[in-house]
Amino acid sequence: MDSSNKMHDCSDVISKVSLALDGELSDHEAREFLVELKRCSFCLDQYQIEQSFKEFLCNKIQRRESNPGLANQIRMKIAQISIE
Amino acid sequence: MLKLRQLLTNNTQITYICPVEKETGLKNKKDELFEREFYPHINALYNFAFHLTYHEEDANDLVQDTYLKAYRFINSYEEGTNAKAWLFKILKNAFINEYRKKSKQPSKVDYEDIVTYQDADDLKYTGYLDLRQDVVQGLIGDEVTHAINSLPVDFRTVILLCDIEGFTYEEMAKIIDIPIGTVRSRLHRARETLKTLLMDYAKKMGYQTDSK
Repeated sequence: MDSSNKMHDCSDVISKVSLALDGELSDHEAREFLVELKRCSFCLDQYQIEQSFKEFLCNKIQRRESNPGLANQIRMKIAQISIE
Repeated sequence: MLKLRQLLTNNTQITYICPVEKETGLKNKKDELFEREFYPHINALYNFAFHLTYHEEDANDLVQDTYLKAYRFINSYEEGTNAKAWLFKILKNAFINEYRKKSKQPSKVDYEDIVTYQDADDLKYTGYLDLRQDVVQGLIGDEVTHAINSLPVDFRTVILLCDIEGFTYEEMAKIIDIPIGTVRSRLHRARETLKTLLMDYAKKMGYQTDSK
């Protein structure tokens, strides 16, 4: 941890890691967060681990696609309802 | 009727929309809205439905029900707003209200009832699964899907909505009908639980832990 800078608070930075990765920080907060990350190798490491995890999930979770006929089935059902 | 005839004989131009035509016009407008704003999300909805039910037919039914409900309650949707979030909310409610009851599964204790409440602001980082290790990256989709499936449905939901569909916390709060702070804390717990499950898989494949 970076102990040379007393203003840096690892727990504060780490509590914002998910918010940063999920795009929940404002532009100003994101800029401040980035500055803090650059100051501390421990925080940067934790950020990169979480970033890897998010990317990992996006890549590994199997995406299922609906069968091509589903939209038409729905259109037909809706047409039936409209007639009734 | 006499007035109408007089108007016609006076050669006055009038526009008369009969009720049937008016209804047809509304129907066409609804159909156009569906084609333009709703149908493009069918794959995302199906994927969400599948991960909630783990059953292709149930997922199909759930998506179908979602669109039928959307059609019925179209007046509560404001055109040009967030159609995807609106549809996801309908699907999530349909799943909770109908499919979970139909499945006749013994009711599970809500995970959050047994976890000590932790305020979102007090969340601590507890990540210890290093996804940069090759062995973890070597986990295949099936194993990851299985781990996701093992999560309580509330946890599964937030991970799918956030990490797969990219909804914001605010959108998720509206879809699930919980405060944003709860979205955040639930997401944190869901990810930590998932990491633990994935680590179990990874350990079987030789994952080395140097902490915890």
